[in-house]
Amino acid sequence: MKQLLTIITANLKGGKGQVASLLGFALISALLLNIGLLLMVGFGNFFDERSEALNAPHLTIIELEHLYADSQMQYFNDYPGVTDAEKESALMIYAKTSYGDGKMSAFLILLNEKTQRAMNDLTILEGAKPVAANEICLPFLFKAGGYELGSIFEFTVGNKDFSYRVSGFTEEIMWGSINNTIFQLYLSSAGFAALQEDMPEAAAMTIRVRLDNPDKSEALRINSVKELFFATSAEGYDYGHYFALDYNGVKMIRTMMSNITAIILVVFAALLISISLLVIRFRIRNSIEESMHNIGALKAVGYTGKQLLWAHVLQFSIIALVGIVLGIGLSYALLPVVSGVLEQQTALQWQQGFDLGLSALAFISILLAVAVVTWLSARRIQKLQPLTALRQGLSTHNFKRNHFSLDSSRGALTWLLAVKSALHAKGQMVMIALIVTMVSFAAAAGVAVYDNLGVNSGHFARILSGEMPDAAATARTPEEAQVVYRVLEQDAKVRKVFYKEDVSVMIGDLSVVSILAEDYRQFEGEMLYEGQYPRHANEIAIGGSLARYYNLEIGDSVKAVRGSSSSEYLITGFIQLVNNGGITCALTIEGYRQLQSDYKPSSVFIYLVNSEETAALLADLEKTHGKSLESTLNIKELADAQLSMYGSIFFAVAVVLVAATALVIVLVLFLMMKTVILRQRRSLGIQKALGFTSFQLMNQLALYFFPVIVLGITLGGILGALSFNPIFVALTQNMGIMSASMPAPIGPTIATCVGLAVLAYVVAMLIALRIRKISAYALVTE
Amino acid sequence: MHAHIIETNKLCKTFSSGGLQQHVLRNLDLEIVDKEFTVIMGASGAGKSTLLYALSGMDTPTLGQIKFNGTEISTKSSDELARFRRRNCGFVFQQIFLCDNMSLLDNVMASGLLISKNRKQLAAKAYGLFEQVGLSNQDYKKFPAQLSGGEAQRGAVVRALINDPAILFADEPTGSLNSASGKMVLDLLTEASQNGQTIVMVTHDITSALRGSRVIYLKDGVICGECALGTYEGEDEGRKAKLRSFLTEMGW
Repeated sequence: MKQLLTIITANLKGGKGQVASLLGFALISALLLNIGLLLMVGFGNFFDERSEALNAPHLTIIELEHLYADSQMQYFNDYPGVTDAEKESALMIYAKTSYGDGKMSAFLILLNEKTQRAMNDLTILEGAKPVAANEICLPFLFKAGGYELGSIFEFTVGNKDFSYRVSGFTEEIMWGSINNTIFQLYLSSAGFAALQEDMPEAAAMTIRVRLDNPDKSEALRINSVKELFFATSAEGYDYGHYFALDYNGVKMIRTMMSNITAIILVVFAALLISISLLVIRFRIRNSIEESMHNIGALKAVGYTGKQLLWAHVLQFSIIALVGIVLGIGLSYALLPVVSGVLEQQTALQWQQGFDLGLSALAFISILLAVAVVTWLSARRIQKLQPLTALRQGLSTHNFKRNHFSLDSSRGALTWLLAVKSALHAKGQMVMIALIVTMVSFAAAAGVAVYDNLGVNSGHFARILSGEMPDAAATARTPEEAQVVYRVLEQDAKVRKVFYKEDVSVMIGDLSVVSILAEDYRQFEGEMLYEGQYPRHANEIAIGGSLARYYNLEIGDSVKAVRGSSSSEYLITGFIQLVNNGGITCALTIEGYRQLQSDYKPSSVFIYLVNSEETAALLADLEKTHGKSLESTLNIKELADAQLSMYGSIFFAVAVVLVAATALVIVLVLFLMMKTVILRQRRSLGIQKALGFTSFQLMNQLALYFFPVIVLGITLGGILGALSFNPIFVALTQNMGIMSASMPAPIGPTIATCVGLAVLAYVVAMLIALRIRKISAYALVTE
Repeated sequence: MHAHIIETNKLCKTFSSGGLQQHVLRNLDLEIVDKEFTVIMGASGAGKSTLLYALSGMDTPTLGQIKFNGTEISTKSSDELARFRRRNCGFVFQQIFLCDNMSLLDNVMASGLLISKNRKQLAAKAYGLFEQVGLSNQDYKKFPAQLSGGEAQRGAVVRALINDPAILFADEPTGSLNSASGKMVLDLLTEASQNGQTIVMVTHDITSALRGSRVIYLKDGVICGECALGTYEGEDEGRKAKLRSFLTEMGW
């Protein structure tokens, strides 16, 4: 063992740069893998732990007071598996407020701070409970929306403006995520009473239910909504009159971004580990060739092949071990930063402690992989005979063919010499191409994600929302809606206006969100992905998830129910919407009247000639017809506000991917060039003696790697651009988005690839600067 | 009488290591005459190779001047010296020093293409030189490791001559060769010299030194003496005796 340590120490001392690079690879791999695993497993566990600590409900319902009946509580108390149920008076209002840099329309559930509740009672994360009538506590998420303690929180309902001072931020499990645009806020007793008096129509009831097993929550939601709202009252079908959330659904939404980030990090860590293993293999093969004399001498004095093999395995394992320990340590230091970025979407203050199990998994998997690859790569040492090794028994060059003979090949001398050298190291070049292709693929995918979600989010927003008009307006009554419709129709700024509303119907056991419109030909989005929209009263288009749930095809018939009315519809097409998990459909207004004969729409979608004038148009409309309007929405502004949050998260992911790619290229170049300079030291010295300048030789070395790096970047870029989208489509189809696409932006992808190539060349030149230290004189006098 | 191609003035070279200084060349004044075959001799450690590499711009002196055709070269930067070497110097080393990842022809072409852009003309010249040194088409397409020492060194002579250098430096060119191969290389150098090529050769082999027209003897970094042998015209006892007598006088 002592002898082994002597050899290992000598090897480690002799290759400090190599040690540093491999250490870097191990460190980054362990860092990403540990964060990825903690996010993937730890974040979900954390959500469960916090929910349990807060005794959070597994089902929560908010409904306008007139829908509530005591029989509902009886229903829950009798439901199998329910362990607790409670109700609380609340206020529910649809209001316009500020969030981030834009405006947001959302449902606000306002509770009285003084009320005692058994489930998810008011828990202050920062600040204090509201005391004065003008104080309010907001969900923690609002911190990401720019609010601070003492900030003024304003919201507008119709023509009424309300203003409160933020006294604290709460920990909210069910109604605290941006994805639902329904938030639970707390007012002081005085503030609650004042608002109740001001807005009697907002009176609501919230019900919270806990189960013996949270996995039953989705079934409870589906069953209770059907039983409580659809079976008893037709009003239950009206959007905005009630909302129900189940625990698993909330968990899925709130951990979605952390899961996506975790998958990206784990995949990238796996990529880096693969690269490290390839580099280790390359290093060992070279190290054997370089130290052939030493191996021969050591064998000659009595070291066994096994001892020398283990010296290699231990040498690389020690480097990996140190890197992994540092990486895991650093990952815990970086977790608060990752958590901070994710907080915008998860709205959870994640404080992850040390997780021995997950970190041990990261530690063992990387270390084991390094040890196995080292052992496999160094096995040839065992077979080497001492005499063969002493005589430099391995040839480093292939003499079969002289590529690009200088007497007949065209091209600059530096280029030709670089290509000749490169062709003598085909294995090495294939390895570099493979590594660079892999990381460039990741970078191209990162650019595609960021471009589609962060920069040009319109296309993706249309997929999420189904249809993206410039604005929407809801009148107080259908009659007033007709007036607003006519006014807009005659406005020169308006390009198009049509009635569009969402209602709920039952199809089978499921509550289905149905879009209603008179003429779907006016739709501009990409909601329909197969077949056609309904044109006649007996036609329907259904969501992809709904179709899969009931195994329905175009041409089949479905029965839709609303209260006591029902009607059969012929399926003409499939639509994609993320609303209601894809459990959606589209009917014509005439078709819907078969379920509700007196139905008249109250909402319109507005498209402008110039989208920039949306805010001005809505301001004019509210000025002239404010009394007729219940709400107006600047859809573009709203979408931008919501997508900006995703944009910043995906920007961070894209930056990490591109930066990690650049880092990998730099590390690979460093390792390779160092080895090549060492191997070609003699040749470089001869060329210097013959009159090659340092710059010529630097260029020659940089160009030696450049074609293969450009090839790798090009291949990775093309593969990333072409194959990431199909992968993404396959993933999103499972989420009910049947024809989503994440096309790679050509310009930014090319720019990233060119940037990486330029970086590679510059870095190669910088690393090659060490050639200046090689003296022709030193070579000949060695 | 030809002009001086190289002149040194109080040339000094000192190596420092671990606080110890070793003065290898001391205030050395020397002229290398154009078209002449100059041989530098001396015992091991006398400074022969150090002088050769200082004269050729492979190394820079610690003090003193080196003028090449009247131009000071000792103050040039490393890249300027590289350009100077490619235009003016040819080298034949004891260790041969061919790039082992290139064929012999490519080794020659790589050197030639630093000066000439006319690939065809250069290749034709290389083929001619290979023929002159007795290397066939089959030989020069081989990699150095596939050649014998003598073949490789003859290839190195072609590389040294491909750019028609103003001066050819040879550092123990026969040191690693057997006598037959050594003789072939010496014949090549002699032939080049007879064709007007200026040559500076370091050797401690009397047979090799006999090929020179002027022999300089170096001892402890100082020129102790020189002997004019005249143009080499074949093995000649008188020439041999003259050199032996000179070397005996120098303490050889």
